[in-house]
Amino acid sequence: MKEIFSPFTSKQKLLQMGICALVFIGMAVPFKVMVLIEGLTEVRPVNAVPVVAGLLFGPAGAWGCAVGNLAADLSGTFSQASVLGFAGNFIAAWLPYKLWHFAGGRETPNVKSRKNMVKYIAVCAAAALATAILIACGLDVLFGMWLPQIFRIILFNNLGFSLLLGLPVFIVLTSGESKITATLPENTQVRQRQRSARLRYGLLILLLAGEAALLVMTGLGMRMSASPLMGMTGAIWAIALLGFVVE
Amino acid sequence: MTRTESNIVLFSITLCWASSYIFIKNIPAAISTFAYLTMTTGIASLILALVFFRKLRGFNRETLLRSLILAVIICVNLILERLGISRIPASTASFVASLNIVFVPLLLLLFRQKPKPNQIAGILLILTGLVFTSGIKTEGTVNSGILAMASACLFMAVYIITVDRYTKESDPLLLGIGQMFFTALIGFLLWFIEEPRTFLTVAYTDEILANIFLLAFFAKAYAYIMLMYSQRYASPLSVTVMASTEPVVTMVLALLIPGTFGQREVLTGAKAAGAALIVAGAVCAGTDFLSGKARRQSIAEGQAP
Repeated sequence: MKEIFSPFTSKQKLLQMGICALVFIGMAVPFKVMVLIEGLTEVRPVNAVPVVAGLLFGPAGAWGCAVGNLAADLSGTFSQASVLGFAGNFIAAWLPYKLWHFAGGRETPNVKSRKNMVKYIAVCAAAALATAILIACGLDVLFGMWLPQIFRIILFNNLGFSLLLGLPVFIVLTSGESKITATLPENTQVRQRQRSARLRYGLLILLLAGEAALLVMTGLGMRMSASPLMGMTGAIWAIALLGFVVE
Repeated sequence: MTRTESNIVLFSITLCWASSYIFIKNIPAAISTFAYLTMTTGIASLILALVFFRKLRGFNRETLLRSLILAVIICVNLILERLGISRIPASTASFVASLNIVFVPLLLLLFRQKPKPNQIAGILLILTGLVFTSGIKTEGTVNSGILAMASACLFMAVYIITVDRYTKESDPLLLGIGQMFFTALIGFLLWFIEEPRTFLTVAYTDEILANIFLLAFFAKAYAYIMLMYSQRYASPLSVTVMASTEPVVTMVLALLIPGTFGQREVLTGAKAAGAALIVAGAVCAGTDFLSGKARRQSIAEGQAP
C-alpha cells in the first residue's frame, strides 16, 4: 500500500509523474477533436502510454497516466465518468508493473528474450481487459450508462496500441541507448511477498479468472447491472483487483 | 537491441506511415506539399526540442552538417516524388516508389556489401508481390514521370544508406531532431518560393490543426526518431524490406476500417496473392535459412579430411 503513494514523497518520482502526465496530455488532446470511426469513438494512441509508463516508472507512471487522463478530459469531455477514466488509466499502468514483478525477480523489464516478449503481451492483455471491465462495467453499475460497444473499444484501444505503439517505444527505452532506469519494487516488499505467496497467487488466479469470465459474459451480451451472475463475478473480480493492487 | 526488437520497431514505423494516409486524407488539397512538409516537420522539431531539450546541448558542427545532408536528401526525394506523381498513374507511381528494394542492395554493392541468399530471394518475392498489389500495367513507355519517380526512389535509397552510416557515428536522437529542423527550414523556403504569403494562405480549422499535429507526432517525430534508433542496429536492407510491407499494411487497414483511404478497398485475388508474396518475401529476407545451409555446407567441406 505504501508503494502506491511513494511518488508523493520523492522529488524524482514526482518529476517522472509530471513527465508521464504531460506526454499523456500531449497525445490525448489532439484526438479529442476527431472521430475516426463514425458512431463509435476516437482512436486513442495515447493508450500505448500506460503500460510503458507503468513498467518503467511503476507507481509514478500510474499516477502520471491517471492525472494526465483527467487533465486531458478537461479539454472538453470532463464528466462524472472521468472518475472511471482516472481509475482505469491508473490500473492500465499499475497492473502491468505489479504483474511483471509478480514472481519477485530483480530483472528490469525488457523484451530481449522470447519469454519476456510473451510476458509483455500477456501483461498488456490482462491490463487492457481490466481497464475495459473497470470503465465499461463501472459506467453501467455506477451511472446506468451501458454502451454495448464501449467494452470492446476500450479493450482493443488499450491492447492494440500497447502492442503496436507501446512495444516499439518500450524497446527503444530499454535499449542500450536509453539512460532510463526502471523502477523496481523495493526489497522489503519482496520479502513481504514471500510471506504471503499463497494469498498473492490466489488473488492473481481470481483476478485472471474473473477477467476471462467477464469477457465471455460481455461477449454473450450480458449486462452487469441486469445480471446477478455477472454482478457477483464482477464483485469478486473487483475485490481480487483491489487486493492484488494494494498488497 | 536484438534483431527481433529492431524488426518490431521498423514495423511500427511502417504502420505509422501506412496509417498516416488516414490523416492526410483530412487535409484539404489547397494545402501544398511544401506547406504540409513545413508544418509537420516544424511541429515535429518543436515537440522533439521540448521533450529532449537537455539533449540539444550535444549538438556539434558534425552532427548539424549530417542532419543538414539528410534533410537535403529527403527534400530532393520529396520534390522528385511530387513531380513523378503528377505525371504518371497512381498505380505506376506506387510501384516505382517501392523500387527501393532494388536500389538499396545495388547501392550497397558499391560499398562491397553483398546481400545474403535469403535477402535476394526475399527481394524477388517482394518485387513480384508489388507487381500484383500495385496493379501496374506492363504496356506504356518510360516517360519523365517514371524517371522522376525512379530518381526519388534512388534518393530514398541513398537516404537509408546514409542514415545507416551516420547513426553509427552520431547520436541518433540528435540526428533525427536536426534533420527535422532542417527539413522544416528547406520546406519553408520552397513554400515561400511557391507562395510568398505562406502561413497566411492556410484556412485553419480545428480538424486541420489536429491532423497536422498528429502527422507531425506520428509520421514525423515518432517515425524518424525510431528509424534513426533502429538503423543503429538494423542493416539498410532490413529497413527496406520492412518498409516494403507498407502496401500490405495499407491494404489491411483499408479493409479493417472501410472508407479510411477515401475509397472502398476491394480485396481481389491478385491483391491477396501480392500481399502474401510481400509478406513471404519479408519473412524470407529476415531469416537465414539459405545462408545457414550454405554455411553448414562450407563447414562440412572444411572439416572433411
